[in-house]
This record gives sequence, structure tokens and C-alpha cells, in this order.
Amino acid sequence: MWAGVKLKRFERLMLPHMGAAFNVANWLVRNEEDAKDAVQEAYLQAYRSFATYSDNNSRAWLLTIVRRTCFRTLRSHSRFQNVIAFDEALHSTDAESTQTRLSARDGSPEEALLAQSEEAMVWVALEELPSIFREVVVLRDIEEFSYQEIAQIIDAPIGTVMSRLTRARQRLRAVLSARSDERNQL
Amino acid sequence: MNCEQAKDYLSAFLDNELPADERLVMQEHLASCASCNEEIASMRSVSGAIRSSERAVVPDGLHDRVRQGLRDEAQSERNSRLRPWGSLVAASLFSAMVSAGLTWAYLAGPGSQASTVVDQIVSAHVRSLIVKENLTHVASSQSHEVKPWFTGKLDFAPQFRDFAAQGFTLVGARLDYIQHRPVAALVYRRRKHVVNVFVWADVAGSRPPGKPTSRRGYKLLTWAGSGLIYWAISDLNMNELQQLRSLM
Repeated sequence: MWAGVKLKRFERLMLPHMGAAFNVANWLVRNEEDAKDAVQEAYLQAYRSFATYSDNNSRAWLLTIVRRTCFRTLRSHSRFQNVIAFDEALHSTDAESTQTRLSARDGSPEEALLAQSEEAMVWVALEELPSIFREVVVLRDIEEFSYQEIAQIIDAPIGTVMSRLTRARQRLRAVLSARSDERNQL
Repeated sequence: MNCEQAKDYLSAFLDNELPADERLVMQEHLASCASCNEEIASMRSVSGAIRSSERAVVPDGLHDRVRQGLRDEAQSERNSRLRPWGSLVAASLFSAMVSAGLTWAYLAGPGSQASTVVDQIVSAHVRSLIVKENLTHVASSQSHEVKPWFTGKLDFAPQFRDFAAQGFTLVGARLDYIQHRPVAALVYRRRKHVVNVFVWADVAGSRPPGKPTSRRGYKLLTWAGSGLIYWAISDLNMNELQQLRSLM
């Protein structure tokens, strides 16, 4: 199919970030199918507004669009959930999505199994954080954006990024120590 | 600096994101504060645990799917540039309508001459989602419960089939209006996505069905069969929308 100069340039700049895009989308919408849809939609939106891209940071620019697309998806789904009772489906999706995320990595099956229980606890705790805390942890500790880039992506002052990360990590720590206390008592 | 002031900056210190002078102030505070040191140590271990775990890989096929979508978009951009001035008029009408937003759809109503079938379908779809009572007039996946409700309301007989086994559950149906005529709206659910399928009789002189389109983020698919015209609309992706079409 025809692919002109604009498309080639866009692909060269933006396709390499698909891993980050999918990972962040997956953490935000907590469901692999919706994450794939969100990545698809975000890339289309990014292409349509490519004329507005002017700085040197394609990864942060793309992730800003991915994040917006995910929140739009979450909002429209929560409207729909008012229409039809969806509680059981929602709970099963959360469990499934953790499982999907855990099995969606490379590495030998034995390694995966060993690492799984400790890691699973961390990931479950992260998944249960409210999204404003979850997204800054994902952007910093998984995608390794700078605070300045995170501030741009979430459209907030850098001071907010600082305090929000502190609170997010404190919450995670609290959840994890409560969980390991439970385990130790068993 | 005391603990209260230091609190918000602990993460930034940990991540080496504090400017030099503030880092010095923080270091001075930490030199004599056990509890803040403890905080930083436990945050370091939590963030380390997350950082060391591996990141999900991009699922098979997503890369190709995205590239295909971009190519389709580039192609349709090119097509609309090559078309004569008529498409420019349509494009500016469209962007005027988008900027007016939903209120336009409500104010214009059935009396408007300017809106096309696609615009009306999109408006009807969005209206059905906003208020839950408006999604269906009869809520059932059973054809023998849905079909009788439409007797006398329509001059054609659509089929109401549930495809729950294939992942498309029939939620119900309602009466809607497109281009001044009453139509059946079949409501399907696929995971968390709503699909509205509008059906009406193929009156002589109707336009032939067009290509799959996308409008305001929704995907639309249209086809004809057995003297009926169908329009399916959803925020679901086009592949799965085509799957529903093949079932119907």
C-alpha cells in the first residue's frame, strides 16, 4: 500500500515505543484486549495530530496520547457499566489480567514460577493502587521516564509528581507489609 | 528542613531528581533523621522490586495491526486530498458538526437536512449510551421475547439472534429513528463494548452500502441483505465488528 514521507517519518519515530505504549496501557486499563485497542487508537490519534509534534521527545509525546486514550476508554466503560450489571465480569477480569501479565514475559518456566510469588505480590499491590498513583509508579519505575517527562505526560506540575510518587510508594509498601504479615501468620 | 517538609521530596531524592541545592538540604536532614532514612530505604526496596520485574511483551499481531491501521489512515488521507472540492465541503461540514458537539445532535433533531446517515447513526449510538434506560426498550437475549415487542411498530421483520456462544451477547433492542424513519436497533455486548446494529427496510432508491468507516472514534460497518440495510457501530475494533457481521 502507498506509504508516503509523513507515514515513514511517523513510523520511524513512534513505532519503537510500542512496548512502552502497550505496557502503560495495560497497567492503566488492566485488561490486555482493551490495552491492545487503546494502543491501536492512540497510534491513530498520534498520526492524525502528528503536525503538532515538535519537540525532541517522541516517547513522552506518544505516551501522553496513550494515557489520554486509556482514560477515555475507562470513562466510557464505566458509563456502560452503569447500564448492565458487570461486577462478576469485572472481578474475573482483574484476576485474569494479573495472570496474563505474569505470563506475558520471556524467561524459562522454572524462573517464572520461582519469581512469581514474590513478584505477583508486588504486581497485585501495584494493580490495586488507585490509577493516579499507579500511573506515576509505572511511568517511573517501569518505563523510567524523568520527573520532567512524567509531569508532561500526566499534565501536572513537577512538585505533584514528587509528592505523588512518594505517597504511591508508601502505599505500596504498606500493602506489601500487610500481605507478608498475613503470609507469615499462616 | 524538618520531616514534615522533607516528606514530599523523599522520592525525588531517591531518584536523583532533586536540584543540587535542595539535595544538599535533604542530605543534611537525613544525616540526623532515622525515620526519614527508614522511609527512603523502604521506598527504595519497593521501587527496586517493581523495577527488577520484567515488563509485558507486546502481544503477537499488535505491531502488524497498528501498522495496518496507520496505512489505512494514510491512504484515506491521501484519497481525501485527491478528491475534488466536494470532499472539502463535506470535510468542513463534518468538522463544524464535531465542534458543535452532542448539543447539535439534540437541537437539530429529525428535521435537519444537513446531517448524513453516518452522523445520525453516531448520534443515535451515543444517545443510547448516555442514559441507561435509553439503551433498550426490550431487554432480553431471547428472540421470542424481543420480536413481539416490535409488532406494529415496524413494517419489516428483522431477526433477533443471540450470539453469546461466539462472544456477542444480545442485550436487547429498541426502536430508534434514522432519517425520519423508524428503525430497529439491536444491541449487542462484546466484553465491555456496546455494539448497536441499526436495521431498516431497503427502500428503492437507497444508496448502496458504503465502505467501513470511522467517525469520532467509533467504527461503522454497513451491509445489505434480504431487503434490509444494516449499520453496525461500536468503539470495538473493525476486525471484531466484521466478525459480528459474518454472524448476522
